[in-house]
Parts: sequence; structure tokens; C-alpha cells
Amino acid sequence: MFQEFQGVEIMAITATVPKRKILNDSFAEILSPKELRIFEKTVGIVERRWADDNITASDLGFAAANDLFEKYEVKKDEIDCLIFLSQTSDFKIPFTSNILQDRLGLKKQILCLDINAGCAGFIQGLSTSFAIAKTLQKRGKVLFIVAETLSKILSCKDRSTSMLFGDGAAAVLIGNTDAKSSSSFFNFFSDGLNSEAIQIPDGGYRNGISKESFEVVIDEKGNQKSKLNLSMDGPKVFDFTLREISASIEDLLNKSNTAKESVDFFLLHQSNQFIIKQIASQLQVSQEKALLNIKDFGNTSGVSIPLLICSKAKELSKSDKVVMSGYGSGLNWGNSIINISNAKIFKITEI
Amino acid sequence: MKKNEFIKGLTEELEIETPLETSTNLKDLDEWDSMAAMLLIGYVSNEFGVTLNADDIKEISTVDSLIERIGLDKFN
Repeated sequence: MFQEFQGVEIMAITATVPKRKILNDSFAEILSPKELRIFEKTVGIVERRWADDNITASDLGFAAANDLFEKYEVKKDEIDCLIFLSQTSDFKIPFTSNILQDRLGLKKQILCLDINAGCAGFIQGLSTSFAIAKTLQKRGKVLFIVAETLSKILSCKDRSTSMLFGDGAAAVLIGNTDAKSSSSFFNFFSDGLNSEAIQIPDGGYRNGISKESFEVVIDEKGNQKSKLNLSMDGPKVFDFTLREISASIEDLLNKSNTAKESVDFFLLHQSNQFIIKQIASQLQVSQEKALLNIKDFGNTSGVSIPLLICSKAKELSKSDKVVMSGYGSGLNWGNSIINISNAKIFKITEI
Repeated sequence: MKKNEFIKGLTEELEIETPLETSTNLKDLDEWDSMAAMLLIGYVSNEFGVTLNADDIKEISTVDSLIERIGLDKFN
């Protein structure tokens, strides 16, 4: 799928992470010092943030949205749509955006929408937000919150997941500003055949929760997890990202007639430093253009791109055109080219 | 690059503790895992400008087979 928008823009963007830092030495039980050193050198994660038990993804998203209301002048009654994107929502029923409508003091005449999406989620949610914003009346805005607490679904004794993921949230305000300079493009891809590559097997309605769901199973590599924990086929996902992503970005650059040289920065999903560098080299763009913050936050799924934007507020405030690329569970991937010159980017806050 | 220099570089990059020979099967090493594969792809790309893909990683067994994939013309 290919999309083009004129005059829809990100107006402001904030991000919030939990205060609690988890350092790599916390994983000494499952990785030797040498393995940890190689992990830092390749995957590139040194620390990540994990929320305390009583903090949910929507709490982080609530804090990010409040931060946006504090720092950016916008009337709450101009928000006509609230989107909450997460894989770690508060309840099975009801959906979380509807709870946040009241918590954030938003009006009742609003469309509230939850999206369940993974590491490509930011691009999927942004596309949905842009499409809705385009149809709103004057001054109408979309508030798009993306939030994850993947720490809550990990097994600490699984080397294929536990060190990789972190928690965080971002709030993005989107408006139909009619700015002539502002063209945006999106493209999307899906490979449902490999839906099991990143999965929580039990707890949905395909395989409900039974006693066996809680049983901790040891696999052939010594990893221990239950069927309610996140499981990932690392090599398959690794293979997919190196095979598909750069070609899909080239596809979007071509379809949108965008010269690679006109792109200020490439904001790639922060899943693995090695993969980001490989994609940059496949695209033949300099490593400095592919921004990184994985060292400090790990992989925060759909949150990683807006979190990257806020952690590089200084560089990005002076830039125009950026390419964003998300890829992960589904398997699913999508890219976007947007102009962020009018976006107010705020520094990351902590709760 | 000479084959012995390549083997020395590979041993250092992957932090392999046992002596490496052209007949050594990389997959048999204690150090072989997905992170070692990343180190290998990075090392080969920096040294030779050759990008190994996932299929290459699957097919490579011995150091000799790796050298063959990189291209014998790059070794003298």
C-alpha cells in the first residue's frame, strides 16, 4: 500500500520513560561477561528502562500526553480523535483510549481508537492519524499515543528476548495545517505466513489460558519461558530485516520521487544496532544519518521511533525531511517520509 | 589478504578461544551463535566489502567455505 498526504503535519511530540534503569549486568545469570561484551558490541544495548509493577503502558502514555499539554499550546477541545497503540494495554475489555479520554480531560465528542501493533506500529498509527486528521474540520487534531511495557511480558531467563526490550511511551499531536510545504508518504507490507516468528502463544482466544500456559519450559538452548511470555525466533526476524527493509525504503523513495540526498535523517526502528548499520549501508547512506539511541533504551517496539526523535530533539529541530522505518511482529513493516520542520520536539521526561 | 591474516582477524573479531584452521567448521565452535554471525557479517563487510546474507550464513560451514563465498580472488 502506498499513501500520499498534503498539508497534514506532526505539530508536537513528547516521550516519557520509566525512571528505573536496568543495566546489562542484571543479565549475568544468562550471559557470560564475554557474551555480554559481544552483545553490547553487536546489538548495542547498554541499558533499558523497565516500569515498576504498578505502572502500565497507558500511565506512561498519560504522562507523555500531559507533558505535551504542558509544553505546547493546544486547546483540549480541539482534539477530535485519540488513538492509543500498544500490545500491553490496561485491560482486555474495555480498550484503553476510552479510559484515557477521561483521564486526559478530553471532550466526549471524540473518536477513541485502540490499535494493537508491534514494532512497525508507529508508522501504522501515524498513517491512521494522518488519514483521520485530513478529514477533520478546521483546527481539529488527532492525539496519537504509542506506549509499551514489554518488560511485563518477558521471561528473565530467555536469552532471545529479555535483554532486548525496554518500556516507554510517546504522544504525538497531528493536525491538518494545510501547509503547502508539507507532503508525506507511506508504504506498508505484511507477511502473515511468519506470524509465529514473534508471538505470545497463549492467553488469546486461539489458545486460551490453561494450567499449562504457566508452565516454564526449557528449550534446546536452555532458555526458560512460559506460553504467556513473549517468544521470538531471533534468526528468522534478523533474516527478514536484512532482506526486506532497505528494498522497501528504496521503493518509497522511488514512488514519492524523493532524492536520497534530500533526506536529513533516517529514523530506523531501534531493534538492533548491527541491523540499523547494515540497513544504512545497504541504502548507501552515511552511518551518521541513521540516528541511534538503542544504547540507552533498548527496543521499545512501536515507541522506538518517536523516542528516538525526542532523544535527538536538537539535531531534528533543525531538519526537514526524514525517513522513518518500522519492522517487526506480524511480520509487518512500513515506512514514511515526512517533513518535520514545523514539529515542536520536546526532550524525554521520566516518571 | 592472506588466508592466515584472515584467520587471525576472524579469531580476534569473534573472540574464538580454540585455534582456527581452514578446515574448522564455524558452526561447531562454542562461540557460534547469532551474535557471532553478526560479528562475522560485520567483519567480512568491513574487510572485503562483501555482504553476507542470511542464506550465506546458513550455508557456510568451514573457514574454507567462507573464503570461497567471499571470493578466492580476494585472497592471495
